[in-house]
Amino acid sequence: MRTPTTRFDPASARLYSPADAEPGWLEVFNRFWFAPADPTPLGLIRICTGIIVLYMHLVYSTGLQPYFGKNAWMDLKTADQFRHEAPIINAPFDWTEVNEQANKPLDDPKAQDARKQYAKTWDIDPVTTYHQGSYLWSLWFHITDPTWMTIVAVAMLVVMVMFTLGFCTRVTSVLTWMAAMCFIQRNWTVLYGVDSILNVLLIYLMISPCAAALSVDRWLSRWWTARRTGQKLSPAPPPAPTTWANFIIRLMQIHFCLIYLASGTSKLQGTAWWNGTALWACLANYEFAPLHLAVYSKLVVWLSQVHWLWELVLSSSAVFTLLLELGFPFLVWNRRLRPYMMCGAVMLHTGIAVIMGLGTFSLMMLCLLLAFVPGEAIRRAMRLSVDWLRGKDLHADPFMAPATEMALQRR
Amino acid sequence: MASESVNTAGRNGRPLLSPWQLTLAGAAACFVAVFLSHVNSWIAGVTLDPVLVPVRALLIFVGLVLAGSGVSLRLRTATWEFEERAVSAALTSVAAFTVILGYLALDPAWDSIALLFGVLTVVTFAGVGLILLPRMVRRVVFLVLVFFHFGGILTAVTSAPPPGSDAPWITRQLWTCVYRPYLQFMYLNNAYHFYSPEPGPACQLWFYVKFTDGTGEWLKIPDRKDYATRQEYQRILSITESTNQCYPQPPSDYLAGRRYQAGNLHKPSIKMAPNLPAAMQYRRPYPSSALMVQSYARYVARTFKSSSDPEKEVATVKVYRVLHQIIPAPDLANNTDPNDPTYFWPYFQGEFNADGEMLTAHREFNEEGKMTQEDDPFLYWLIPIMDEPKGRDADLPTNAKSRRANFDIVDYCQIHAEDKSK
Repeated sequence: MRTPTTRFDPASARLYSPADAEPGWLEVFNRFWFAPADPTPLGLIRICTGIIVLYMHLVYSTGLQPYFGKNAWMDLKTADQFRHEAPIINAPFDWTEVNEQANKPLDDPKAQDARKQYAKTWDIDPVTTYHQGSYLWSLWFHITDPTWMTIVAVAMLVVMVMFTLGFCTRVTSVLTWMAAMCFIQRNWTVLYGVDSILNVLLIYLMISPCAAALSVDRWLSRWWTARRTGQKLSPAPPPAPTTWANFIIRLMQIHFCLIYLASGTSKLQGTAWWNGTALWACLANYEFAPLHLAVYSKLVVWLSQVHWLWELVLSSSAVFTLLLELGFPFLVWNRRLRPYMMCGAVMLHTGIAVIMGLGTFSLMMLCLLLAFVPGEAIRRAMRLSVDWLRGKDLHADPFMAPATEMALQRR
Repeated sequence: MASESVNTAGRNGRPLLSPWQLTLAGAAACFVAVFLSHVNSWIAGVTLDPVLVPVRALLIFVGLVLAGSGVSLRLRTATWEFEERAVSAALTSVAAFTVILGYLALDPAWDSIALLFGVLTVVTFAGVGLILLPRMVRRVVFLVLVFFHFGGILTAVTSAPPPGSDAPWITRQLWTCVYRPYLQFMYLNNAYHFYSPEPGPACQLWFYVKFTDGTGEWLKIPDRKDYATRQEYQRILSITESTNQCYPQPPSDYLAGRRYQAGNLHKPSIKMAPNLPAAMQYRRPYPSSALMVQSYARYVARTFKSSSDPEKEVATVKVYRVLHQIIPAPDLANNTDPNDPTYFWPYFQGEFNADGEMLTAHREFNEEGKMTQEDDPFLYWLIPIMDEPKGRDADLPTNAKSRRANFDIVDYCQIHAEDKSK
């Protein structure tokens, strides 16, 4: 009789026993959500997200008044108008639903005047709306003095640095999300895809144990323990797997899949994606693509001069994009196919960064993609990198690549 | 056990401050803020707001951070037996009351932060309930929350209407009646329809700024050269894209006729684009886009400085929303410049004064719904930049060079803006 052994699954960082080879659906469901998992991916996601968040808000800081000031591109008056008045219209509940109020003037003359003014601004009778206004919140709706805005923005940047380093992470993760939301909610006209992904990441990191690995908090905790017990600080062992880490990693993974599925299925509504020419609107879009660079411009001109090649490149790019976005949410859960799906995603977002100039957005998506990387793989990569930088002998490690050895010899 | 190994360092290390000390200190800070919020109303004749408001804000902030830290420390160091959970729940309740104190200390004008505090209070009290629940029930509640959360994401994804149709009725009801507060509050309302259904041309904004001395200058955004980082450029590009929300309905024959006639009567004439249907030449923006254009015109009026004399005063700003059409591959193969002026399609959005009030005539209705004033005939219409043949026998263009040899570019947008500089 074979002795049951536990097997560490690198694709999911979870412990399995062959004795449980055929669990029921409830057991699978329970294991999917609540089996302990290595929190290292969350630590790395925290660091990468934090760096990008810092960069984005440093850029904001150079234009605090034009973007978020009282007289910004979207000034406070307009932002408040949207916040308090923007109409929300609902589909009628019944086939024959009629709003009786819509055809009657209001009794109060002031209310009737306000009604007319609203209709003039928003092109809709307020009586027919379901609700007016939005649930937006931001310090920048209320802090408009430039000096105080600068002080608060600097404080926010300090909090973001602390979050990136993993210091007082439980508090700074919440504060970082709130700070980011203050910018997002104040002026939505400057937003694009990167802000949605940034927000998703910060929400999940805020409720995750992202300080359990690769953080100043963890180092301080170990240092304090070593000090109290009178021991020397030893090299950090792998962080203990936790149920909570697994729960949050699953949320990130599912959200990533939903993003791809939504993006892929919505593309199927467009004729350009079906006839394979959609990517031309990216390649030749002057505001996005680097057509101002001579190298890129010459390449695209040459491509357009070879018609069959143009068709082949564009069609295959469109098919690749659709297959990846529609296939990823289903195939990534297969352990054998996961590396290929992840490589495909990296290729897609590298292409978006180069061709569309959306580097920050691509980096954010890759941060979210890290949720699919097992903690052990991250720690192994970090260990190899540190050892390589220190010039250590890597021959004992079976994952040591010949290229790395040659790099060492060159040094 | 996994949870114990995480907590061990904390218990062995014994925190310097106890969670109760932190939370109660936070509550005390917020209580002082509540007290200070009433101080100014007790002292007649003197306003202390310039000092009290920042102090109150700082006290509220510190109070909430301390209370949150206390709860966090408690949850990290305590075990999960029922007695311990009861103590944790009590501490979390104190934290929730701290948030309420912070809410009471807020300035009444800070309505959006009051909303945030309201939600924080609810979440904290919900946390109290979660702490008290047994582990299995807690897990079930988490799963219910997860399903609610992803249900909201799916609602946002499906609430974007497909081309030429409405969004599903069920989605619209769910979004409007159930999920809207959650999705808007958390900024989770994105449908993730990236480059779909069709990637389209980018949008620019052109402002013709007229000064009080009769001169004028153009401001065209975005221009890559004006920004140090790609991120800044992308932000301005998003500003211009935000004006690109338009009604799908084509113009009536009457409107098209008015545009045609006004173009002919204008001296010099402002033609309509000959090869485009009227439906593509008229783009009435949604009210939201129109409001944004007004705000942008105000911003430009306030901040734009003349290159010849920065002291000049701005009189009016004419705004054009410009679609930069994507160059067709055959044209690029013929070495046509992607920035050829004819690829820019400006749509007139109105002329505004320095306060953002539209000076261009726009439609008004009386009590009975009858139109009392019509739109300016050029408002929201394409003012084209197009090729016109130099002579009657101009050959059809075969490449960029022969095109320029046989055709002149006529910039009707410049004519409409009354830019006499060229």
